[in-house]
This record gives sequence, structure tokens and C-alpha cells, in this order.
Amino acid sequence: MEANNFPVTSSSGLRILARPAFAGLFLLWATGSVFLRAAEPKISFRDVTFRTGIKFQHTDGSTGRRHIVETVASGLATFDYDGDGLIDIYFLNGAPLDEPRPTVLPRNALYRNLGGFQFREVTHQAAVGDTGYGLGVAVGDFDNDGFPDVYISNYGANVFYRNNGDGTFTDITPQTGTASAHPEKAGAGTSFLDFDGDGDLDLYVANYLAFSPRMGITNSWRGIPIYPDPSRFRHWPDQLFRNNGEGTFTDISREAGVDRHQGRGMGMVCADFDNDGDTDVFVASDGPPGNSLLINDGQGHFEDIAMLAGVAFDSAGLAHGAMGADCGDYDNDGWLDLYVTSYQGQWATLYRNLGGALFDDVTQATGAGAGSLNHVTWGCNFVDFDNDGDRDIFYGCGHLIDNIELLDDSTSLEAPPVLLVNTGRGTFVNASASAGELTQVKAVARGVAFDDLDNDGKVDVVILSSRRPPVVLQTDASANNSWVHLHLQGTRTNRDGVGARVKVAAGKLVQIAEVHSGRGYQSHYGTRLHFGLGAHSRIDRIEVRWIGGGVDVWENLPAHRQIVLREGSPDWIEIGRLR
Amino acid sequence: MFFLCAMAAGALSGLATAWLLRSKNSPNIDGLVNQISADLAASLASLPKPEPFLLPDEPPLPRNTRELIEEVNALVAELIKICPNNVDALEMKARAEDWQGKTKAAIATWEECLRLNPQYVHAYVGMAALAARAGEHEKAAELARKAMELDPTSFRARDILAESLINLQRPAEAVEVLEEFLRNDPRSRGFFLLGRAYSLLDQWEKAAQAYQAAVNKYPRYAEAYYALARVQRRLGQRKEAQETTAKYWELMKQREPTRQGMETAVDDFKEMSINGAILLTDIGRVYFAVGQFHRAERLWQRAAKLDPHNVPCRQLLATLCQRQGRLWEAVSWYRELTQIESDNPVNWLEIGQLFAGSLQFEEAEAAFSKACEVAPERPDGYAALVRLYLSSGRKVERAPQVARTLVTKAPTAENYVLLAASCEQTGDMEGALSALKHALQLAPQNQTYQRMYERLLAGKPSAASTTPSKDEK
Repeated sequence: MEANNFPVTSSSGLRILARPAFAGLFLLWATGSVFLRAAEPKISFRDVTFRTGIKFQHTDGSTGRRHIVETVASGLATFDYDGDGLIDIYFLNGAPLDEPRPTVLPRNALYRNLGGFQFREVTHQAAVGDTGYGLGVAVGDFDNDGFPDVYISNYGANVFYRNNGDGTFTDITPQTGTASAHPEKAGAGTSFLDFDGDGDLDLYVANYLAFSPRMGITNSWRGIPIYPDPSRFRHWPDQLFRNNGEGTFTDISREAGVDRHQGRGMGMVCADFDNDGDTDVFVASDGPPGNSLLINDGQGHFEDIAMLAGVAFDSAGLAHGAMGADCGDYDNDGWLDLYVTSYQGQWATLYRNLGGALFDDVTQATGAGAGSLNHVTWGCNFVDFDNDGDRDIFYGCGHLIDNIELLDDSTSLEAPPVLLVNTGRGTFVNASASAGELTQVKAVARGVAFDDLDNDGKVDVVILSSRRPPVVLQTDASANNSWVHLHLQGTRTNRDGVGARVKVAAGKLVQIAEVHSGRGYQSHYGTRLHFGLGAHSRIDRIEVRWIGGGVDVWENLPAHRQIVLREGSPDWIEIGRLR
Repeated sequence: MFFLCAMAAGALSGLATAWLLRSKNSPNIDGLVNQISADLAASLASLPKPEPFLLPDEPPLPRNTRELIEEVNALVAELIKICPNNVDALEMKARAEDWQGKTKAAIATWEECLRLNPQYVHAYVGMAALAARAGEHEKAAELARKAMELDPTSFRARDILAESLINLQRPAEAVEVLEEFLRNDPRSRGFFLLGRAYSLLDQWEKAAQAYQAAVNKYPRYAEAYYALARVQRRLGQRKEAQETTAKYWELMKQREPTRQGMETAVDDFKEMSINGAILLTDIGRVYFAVGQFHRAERLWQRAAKLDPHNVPCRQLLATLCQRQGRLWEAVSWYRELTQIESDNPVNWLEIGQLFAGSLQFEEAEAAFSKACEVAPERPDGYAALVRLYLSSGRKVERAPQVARTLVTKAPTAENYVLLAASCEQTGDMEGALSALKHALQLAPQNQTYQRMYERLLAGKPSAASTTPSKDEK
């Protein structure tokens, strides 16, 4: 059947309103309207986990032997698996690493969003309960059938689930050739991207290191056993799989040049960092030799320019124990900036994209590292929580040494996440203390996902907490700013518009974003793009540059809506609840 | 004061690397020096080697980190018991707590220090450092500023204050703090922070100058090379940036430990022992300050055993032995220091002085020659050699040659007088007059030099020696 991700009617009461739109390519930006910036709104979060019905409990499989893989589990994904217009949640889980293994194994869990922050577990029905050791996940419609598929990066063999379009999935790992099944391979972040612009999604798989419980590598600090550090393990090279277009993939890691980096990969994000129209790759690295920024020549070859570009290290030339990574245009200058979380004692780092393959570590200049020094920091993103037209920063915290409080009382295992509000003047302010229940959250964060779970126009947060239940945060903001959700639909290019660059102009407020698959700390979220519009009630112009395709422009669109933009179509489709 | 000493210890080896830039442009004197110093190892080996003084109740060294922590805690408790209400003893307690990750206890102890002595600078510095580590930059800046008010020379307080201001997005204030301070105390870390502050102000030329000053002061400062390369790229100096980046990589590779196979079990005992040795050394200083020399020496010896590369404990032991007339033990500690700091001539000069003081000419000459060999650009070794020849009256014929090298290294009035004395002692009156002329040109008001010159002009022989005493400048 032909998929339509946007139901005419749905249990959540959404409705489709087809509207004519002014279409046209390469039109001049409207410049007459006044830039309407909202007053400083207050952002607050409410912990609604208890009423979500989510019973998931993460395990890292630990038995006290302190295997390094346990410290980095796991990511999660938020995506609309059943096309009902509500974002669902898929949690990865760890698994026992030592023998004897229990007869009932922990498994990943899929929760269907019923609306109103109510979720129901559908893992069994959907057949996505992998029992491998889950580390990273990406979602992408690799076969362009309109249903998002799921790829999981494990310790050991990876798993590829094809979405059947009827609420179920099929494990197609063997036929795709993407298992990367070496038993000592510990995976990391993974992303779908169309690196060659041929209209179907390829797959980048970052890897962490070579590990086996039999290695018996131990460590102690101040006389107390702790987890070993990654430098004791050999790195495992990253992989790039080209989509052959008929359900199979080919490993082209070597010829593409992605297997050369010696870093121990963690979170990653694929985006057009040099504004040349193709998708590049950033992989965070846990320690030396630093992060990698692989620039795509558009022909399937990548060159690591992280060192020259200034994103391999911090401003002092130190390779961080980098964890999560995401990108966004925090200063609305048309270039995607990078945010990279890291180990205790190191700033979570903001790299400003200056253009010309040059970034500047502006952490100190902007205050974007606030709250991070005495914690290990993980999933992160640039999100406009208050819809004021600039992107704030949110990151999760939680130590990876489970007995850290015996060793260092300046930090803690559990820690609240951090909200840094964008002042609109190129700086950030730590607003966690005034963000509702945020400081009451006690999580051991790993993956953090950002999506509007209740379709109210504000981006909510889900935190996967190691060895604990997850945390679901409902977002609210005092100001009633405008917003828009954009769902891209490729027709000639990949179906979900992964990699497409979107420019939204409302008055003088001009913002960019891209659709990214697999990001943050080994997680997936945000396929549906969110833009805050401040006090603007209408959007003057939206321009979409499709990966491997052309540019489409739509004009004069309403705010407070979910809008579908279909490639090559002058019309746009509105889904949403009018406010 | 102890806090500063501990912090400075790490920087010493870096500063010494400036001496690595050797240019052997004096082949004659180098030949002489090499010839003498080549025999030094054998010469010193032939000396009796007294065992360092050991207490009979010396317990075995800790075998692991847990035992080390227990020992340090016991030593701190004993110190507090023996020296109650002693603020320096409390400082040791605060530092030991911080070392073990007990930051809350450390803060409480620093506050106790301030109750005993509200002017105790190190308490402010210690608390400022903890606040900075926790990301509490306002608090760190406030505490560091207080420390600087009490002790304007505290470079550690300055660094914390400057870095906190940078983190508070007040780089212009950081520049103000740093520039004034660096004029009087030009340290590499200060220049690095200055470079960062200028970078944040988009003053790239000034940033480059500051980073360049940092690597000039400390040529192994990898972080400063990286920062300099970034600034050079911003300035469009691509070639320079590439060269600076290459230097950064070279230094970073030297930092990475070479892994010999895959060890399965590792711990932090070695690293903790290094820090433990610093603590023991400083606890020993507290005992020394209250006259408990025996306890001080015991702790310094233990520190030396815990960390075979700890310099301050060996310097303290050498000085203590020297003052107590235990010269062979002093020589023994200085010999260890020459092995740890192979490019530092000071230890060879100390050995030479000890031998010269005990009238062992050959050994003294060998030690001074070694000082010249390890730091050929520094004048100290040549001056010591000339003085040795002239004061002992042995091998005087070598003195003029060494003195000529000396004045090329440091053309001071005093050194020209040494050359004059050397020439006079070997009958080269023309050379002596010429050298004294130079000395008088450099110090025309010096009456002693004037009298020497007049005496030489009159053709009168020296009464005893033309060698000026160190006080006759």
C-alpha cells in the first residue's frame, strides 16, 4: 500500500487541512515585515514519567566485573513508527555480558504514543525486541516506502528492522549485509544519510572499540575498583554501507576513507557543515586522537579535517572524552554549529561554524559549557524550547563510574540535566534552576531524545537513564510564541528528506535546520523539524534544498501548525490542531 | 607557601628546557670542558658513598594506593596532633582531603585555616581552585581576588582569577589582571591565559603574541602551540599554522605513554605516589619550620623513595645535609638530582662548591665542567671554574681560556675582572689591562676596578690576587 504518514483522522483528533500555497523557486526573501522577537519567556519541565505507563527499566548487564561497554549503554529513538502523527519511543537495552546468562534476556522496548503522554508497550506486537547489547540507533526509510525503518548498533551483531507498514517490523539484517557481526566489536552512534545523493539512504556506523569480557581488563582509582578507561582497548574502525537500492548494502568503508580514523567513536551526527549541498559526518571520539569531521566530496570520498577545522580538540588542544554530538544553527547565521558533550572536568563544548571549514571553540565566550564541568555529559541538542526563534541547549548528565561518590564528592552518579537558554545575543544562560522540575530529576543519562510528544508545539524530552527507568519531561513555556513543525516528504530524493536543508523566514527571523537521522548520544529524534517563530503568526517563506535534488520554495504559510512539504509540489499539507 | 612550592614543582622541568637550545660556538673551551667532565663519572664513583641517613623504625613503603592513602592520613593526623592550631598543618590536611576527592571536607578545613588566620592566602587559593573545578566561576574569581589582595605575587591566584573571568565572559578584565602581573612575573600559563583572553576579544595579533610568549617561556607547552596554530589560521598565516601544528603533534606524541603489550590490571599507584611524595615533602616542611628536623628529614627521605623523580624533597635533603655538615650525603642527594634534572647545571655547581669547600680540586673542577657541559650558554659554570683555578692556584694556565668564554656568554664587568685576573696570573699583562678596560667601561663608577686598573698600569704585581670577591661589584 502507498504509505501516508498523515492520517485523515486519528485517535488524537488531528485533522488534515489541505491548503493552496504560493509556490515558486528561488524567490526573493520577503523583507518588509518587522522582526518580532518575544520577551524572555520562562521554560519549565514537568516530570510526567509516572503517568506515561512506561515500565521500561534499562540494564547495562552489569554483574560487578565492570566491563567498559556497560558505561556507554544506551541510546533511544523517538519516531512515528505507525504514522499516526504521534511520536513513539524506542528504548535500547543492554544485556548480560558474563556467563551464565539468564534464560529470560532483557530486550529493547517500543512504546506506542496514545496521546496525552500515555504510552503502551508494543514491543512484542511490533517484533522489535532485540536482545543484543544495544548501544546506538538510527531511524530512516531506507527503501522509500513511507515507513521508517530502524537500525541498531550493538556490542556484537547489529540489527536492521524493516518497517512493514502495518505496525510490525521484520529483521532483515542478514539480507542487507549490515550485521557487522564480529563478537568483539562494540558499536556506537549510527546514522542514515544519502551521502551520494542518489535518492536512497546509506548507512554510517560509528564504532567504539574492541572488547571481550575475557580480556579481564581491570582498573582501580584511589584504591577502589572502577571501570577501565577506553585507552586500554583498541579502537574499532567506523563503517559506511552504500544502499544498493534493492534491499542490500555494500560495505565501502575503505574506498570512502571512513575507516582510517583511530578514534573510539561515540555519538555522531551527519549534516552539511560546509554548506556545499552534500552531507558530511561528525563523530565524537572518547579521548585521543580527538573527534573526526569527515567532509564529503560528493563523490563518495570523505576527508577528515577535524584537526584543521578546529573540532578535534577543545581550544587548548585537548582531546576530550567526548560523548554526544549534535548540530544546529544557534546564532542563525546560516551555518550549522556543533555541540559536543564530554567527561567530567571537561567542558561540554560549543564549536561555532565560521564557514570556510573553520570552527571556533566558543564555549567560554558564550557560556555554553555552564553546568558541565563537574559531570559527565551525554545526549544533547539545540532546541528552541520557548519558540522565541533561537535555539537553546539541553544536555543530560550522569557519571559512568558507578561508585564515583566513594571517590569524588564533587560529582555524583545521578545528576539533573541542564538547560542553557539562548539569550539571542550569542550567549547562553544556565536556566536549569528555574526550569520547573528539572533540578529534581535524578538520572544517569545516556541517550536523550527531543520531540514534541503531545503535539502542542513545544519540544519534550526523553532521557534514557542507565540501570534505571527513563525520564519523560513535558515542556512548557510562559510565552505563547508561534511555532511550526515541518515534515518533509521526498519524492525523487529520499522519502523523509534526510539531509535536506530547510530555511524558514518569518519577517527578519531566518532560521535553518536539516533532517538528521541518528544523532546526539547514539540516539535518533527530530525527524519532524521544529521551528520557533517568536511573535510571528505567519511564515513568509520556506525553502527546502533536497539532498541530491533541487530547491523548492513555499510562501505565506500559517504558524502553530504541523505542515507537510512534499518535494516538487507547490502545495503544502497542514496537519494540526489550531490554537 | 607549601602550596606554591608543590605547584611550582611541575613547572620546573619545563623552564629548564630553555637551556636545551645549546650552541657550541666555543670549540676550545668545549674541548676542555668535555675532557674534564668525561672523567667525572669515574671521579665521583671513586668517592665514598655514604648511605642516606635512615631512621631505625622506618616502616615499609606502601605497596598500593590504599596503603599510601592510609599512611598519608596517619601522617596528617599525627601532624595536627603535634602541631595543634598550626595553620600550615591544617593546610596539609586540606590538601590531603582534596587529594582523596573529599572536596567538602577540604573546603571545611580551608575555612578552619581562615578562622585561625584570616590572612592565610593559601586557603583562599585552595578554595578558589575547588570552586573553579566545580564550575563556580563567580565564587572562584572572588576567592582568587581576595588571595591576590593579600599576596599580589600569587601567580596561582592570578591564573584562577583570570581563567574565571574568561569563563564569566569578561575577557577584558582578564587581560587587565594578566598584563599587569606578567610584566613582573612572566610565566607561561599566564601568557596562555592572556592569549585566550585576547582571542575572545578578537584581538588576534595580540593573542598570537601572548601564545608565542607562552611557548618561548616553556617550549614544551603543547596546548599553547595548538592555540597559537588556531590563531595563525585566523590570521591567514597558513604556513606558520602548519609548522606550529606539527610542533603540537610532536609534543603530544611524547606525552602519550608507550604501551608495552596489553596489561590487564592497572591502577593509579604510580600517579598517587607522585602526589603523595609532594604531600610528604610539604608535611616535612611544616615540621622543619617548627624545629622538628628529624621528622622533617624522615618524611623527605620517604618522599624520595615514593617518587624517584621528586626534586623538592631531594633539594631539601641536600640543603639540610649541607647545613649540618654531612657533606657526602649532600653530594649524594645532588648526584641524584643531576640524574633527575640532567639539563640543570645548578646541581653540578652545588656539587662543585661542596668539593671546592673541602679542597678537593679535581672533583670540583669536574663538577663545574659538567655544569658548563649541560648548560653551555649559561655563564655560571665558567665563572665557577675560573674562580676555582684562581683561588686554588692550580691549573691557572687554563683560567684565561675559560674566562674568555665566560665573557662571551655574559659580558659583565665582574666577568671581565675575572678575565683580567686570569691574564695577570698567567703573565699576560696586556690582556689583563684590556679586560679591565672593558670592566671599567661597563662599571665606570666602580672604585675597586679603578684601583686594580691603576695598579696594573703602574706595573705593580698583585698583592694576593686580582680576583675580586663576589661582594666587589
